[in-house]
Amino acid sequence: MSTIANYGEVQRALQTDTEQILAQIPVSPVTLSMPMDGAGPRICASVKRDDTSRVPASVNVVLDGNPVEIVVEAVGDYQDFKAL
Amino acid sequence: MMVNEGSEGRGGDAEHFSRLFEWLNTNADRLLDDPATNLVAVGIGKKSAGRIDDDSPFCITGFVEKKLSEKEIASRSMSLFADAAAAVSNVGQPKSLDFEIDVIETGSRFRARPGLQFPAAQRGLRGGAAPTLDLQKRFETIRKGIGITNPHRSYPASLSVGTLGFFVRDEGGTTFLVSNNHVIADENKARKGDSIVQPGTLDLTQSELNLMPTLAKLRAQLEIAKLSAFVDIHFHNPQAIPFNEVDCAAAEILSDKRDFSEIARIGLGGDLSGVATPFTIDPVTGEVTGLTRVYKAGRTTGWTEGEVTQLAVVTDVRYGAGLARFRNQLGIAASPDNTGPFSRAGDSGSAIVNARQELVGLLFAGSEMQTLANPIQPVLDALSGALGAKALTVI
Repeated sequence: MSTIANYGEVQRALQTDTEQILAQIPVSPVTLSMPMDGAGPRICASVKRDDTSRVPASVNVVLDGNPVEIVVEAVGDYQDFKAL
Repeated sequence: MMVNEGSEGRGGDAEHFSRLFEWLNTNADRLLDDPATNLVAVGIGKKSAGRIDDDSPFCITGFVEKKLSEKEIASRSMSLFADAAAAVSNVGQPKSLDFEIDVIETGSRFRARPGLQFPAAQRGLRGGAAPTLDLQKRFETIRKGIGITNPHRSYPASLSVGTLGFFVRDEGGTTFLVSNNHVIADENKARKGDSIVQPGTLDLTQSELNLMPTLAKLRAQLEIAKLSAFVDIHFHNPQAIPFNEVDCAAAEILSDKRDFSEIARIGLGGDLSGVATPFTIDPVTGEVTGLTRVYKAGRTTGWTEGEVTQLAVVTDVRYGAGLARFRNQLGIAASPDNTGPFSRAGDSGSAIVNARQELVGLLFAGSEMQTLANPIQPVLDALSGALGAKALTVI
């Protein structure tokens, strides 16, 4: 049984389990991040407005051998990043 | 006007300055109150009339609106500053003074700068442009935040510019400027030894472009560094989508080309004071340790203020050569007090600092609303490896 990820686990998962997380969010383009707004540990998935419904409510990773569930928040505000 | 040449050496500067200061306190009023001297002000300066820390001796400086010849002074019944200084010192002749004096022309009397005050209906018409510092011009004294580029493979057909981020020194004492790969290493296409020029070629006037029609002429005039190393950007390819962590490169400065002696003490917005501790986050409460209010000086938008709003950002970034996927990036939004975005095209390479002037990140990409930066420690680690250095010190 998995536990809900805390802030530390969200940050770590985004840094080390990026491919597994992206594989569970079948939307492109997407920007993933950990918001620092104090509204709870989660991944923010910025996607195009029409794609928000395709973003799952959570993703699962394994950290130190333990299954962890990470809440995903879909936001329809995706914007291209360009090298400046 | 030299009165007593060589009365003090550099070794006695502090004592000499103290004596001049005492002399000034005793005699300044009398000199200024005497209409015959025509003095606007009197102070202590350098005999060279240059910087206060140069090698020439301290002297007493008299300020006049306009320098006059001795004949003109005599015809108007005025006093030479030297004679007046000697008189208040009770030494009779200027040559008996034990310090040097100089006269500087001010052009006018000193006036308080008036505050701007206009009828409310004229608001916006008289204030002039917002204060700004032109970071796009040629700088004689090189510093972080100014425009640079690598013109190889593009000049003169196309023009470019990015930003000089900051400076590092290796254990052997070699100094490098740091910017993005895509600013000074041409998205992996550059070669070691490529010239880095300042200002960027996009910031040259047409007359300057006409004077430097070839790469060789451009390099001869504007080269400030040679590319030393860069970290490859890995682009999407048919086989895989590799992850990147940094977009960075380093170029060895050419100290005979411009003045690099000030780089550690004339930072725009403040001098760098080292590297910030990476952001840490309380696993349970989410409380962040570290200053999240950040600043940058960049070629296009100048000095801006932002807030780190996201950690561990994963996204694709569009380059000229294609898409590249990054992870573990800092997301930054303009602060409410910042006018406009935190960054725009041409700001790439900017050093991002916190309120303690500690280096936080290296700016490299942006969208309409957000800016992305590489966290600084991976940048320094990657550049150390690329340069073959044991460690790099931020200066």
